Amino acid sequence: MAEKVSNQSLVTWFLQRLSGLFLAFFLFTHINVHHFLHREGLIDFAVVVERLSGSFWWKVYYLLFVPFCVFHALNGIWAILADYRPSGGFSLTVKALFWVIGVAMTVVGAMTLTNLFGAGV
Amino acid sequence: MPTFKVFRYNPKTGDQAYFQTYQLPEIKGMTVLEGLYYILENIDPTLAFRSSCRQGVCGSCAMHIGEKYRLACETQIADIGDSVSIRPLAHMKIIRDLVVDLDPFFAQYEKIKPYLIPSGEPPTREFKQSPAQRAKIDFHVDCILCACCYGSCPVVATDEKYLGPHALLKALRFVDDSRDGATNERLAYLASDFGVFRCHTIFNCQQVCPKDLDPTGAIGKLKMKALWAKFTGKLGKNE
Repeated sequence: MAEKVSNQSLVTWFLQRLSGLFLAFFLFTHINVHHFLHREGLIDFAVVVERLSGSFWWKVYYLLFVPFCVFHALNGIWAILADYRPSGGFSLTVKALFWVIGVAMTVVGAMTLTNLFGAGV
Repeated sequence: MPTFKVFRYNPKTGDQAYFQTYQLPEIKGMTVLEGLYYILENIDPTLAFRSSCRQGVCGSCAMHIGEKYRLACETQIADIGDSVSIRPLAHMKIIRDLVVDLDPFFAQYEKIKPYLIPSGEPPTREFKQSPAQRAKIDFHVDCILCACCYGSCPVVATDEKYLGPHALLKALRFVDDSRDGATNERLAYLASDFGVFRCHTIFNCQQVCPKDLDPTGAIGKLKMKALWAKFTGKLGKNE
């Protein structure tokens, strides 16, 4: 046990569970809003924009949803790949690729949302 | 009349592995191990398998019997049906027939330092431990290192560096031991990239354990202990 070991698995394992919990909350809210609270007419683009332009908490809700969802998905794929004990080079390449994809998706998602925040229809 | 379909393979001959069928006499109370000895002594002296104590203590006769990893000495033929297939433990190199190379299994076990590491100078007489403190490790000391859990674990199948359920169950025995002083150091090692967080909680190890132990639960407890040590800044630090 004297050898230096990385505890990265501990952190990613914990964050996967934490993001999973958040996603469960998001899913519950989504189903509640779309299927039970919204009772008048169809949910179209205008309804979504109206919601995004309204309460501060809806903005927070969607802005958190994107990074949690992206992290949970990419970290989950990484956990599957890690089961096969990939080589150092492959591991580094995949991690770098996942970081780029993750950051890009989060930024694009956040930009799309912020554009809708004050849009109005 | 019981029929055994036994896995046969001798890497030295270079021949393909195959299943050989043996007919056994019907004897009330006969175990699978006794059946294998019957074959060895009366039908085929070339059959290779391991055994020692014949009473579920040494763990030598662990193998895949029917649909499950079990101890041959503790398995009654009458309980598993007339026709049964017998294979060696998985994830380890086959030396011959039902005998596998257990070196990787014990190498992983040694990595967890399966002995007490006192925090300071050892006491002049014995280590004192209350009945309650002893009760905490009662469960885990019963592990006989038979490798049923190791053979059934799908993570072991793909990741040769993974410590394995046997080593992790035994690790909890030392983490929970009041006489051990290296808890946080142990947890840091167990929380590494080849430790408890590689376990997917599949429960195969728990399902096959011939001693009814709970390696999956032990790994779960180690995960929580490692997380707590991390958040309290104790992980990896000597007590």
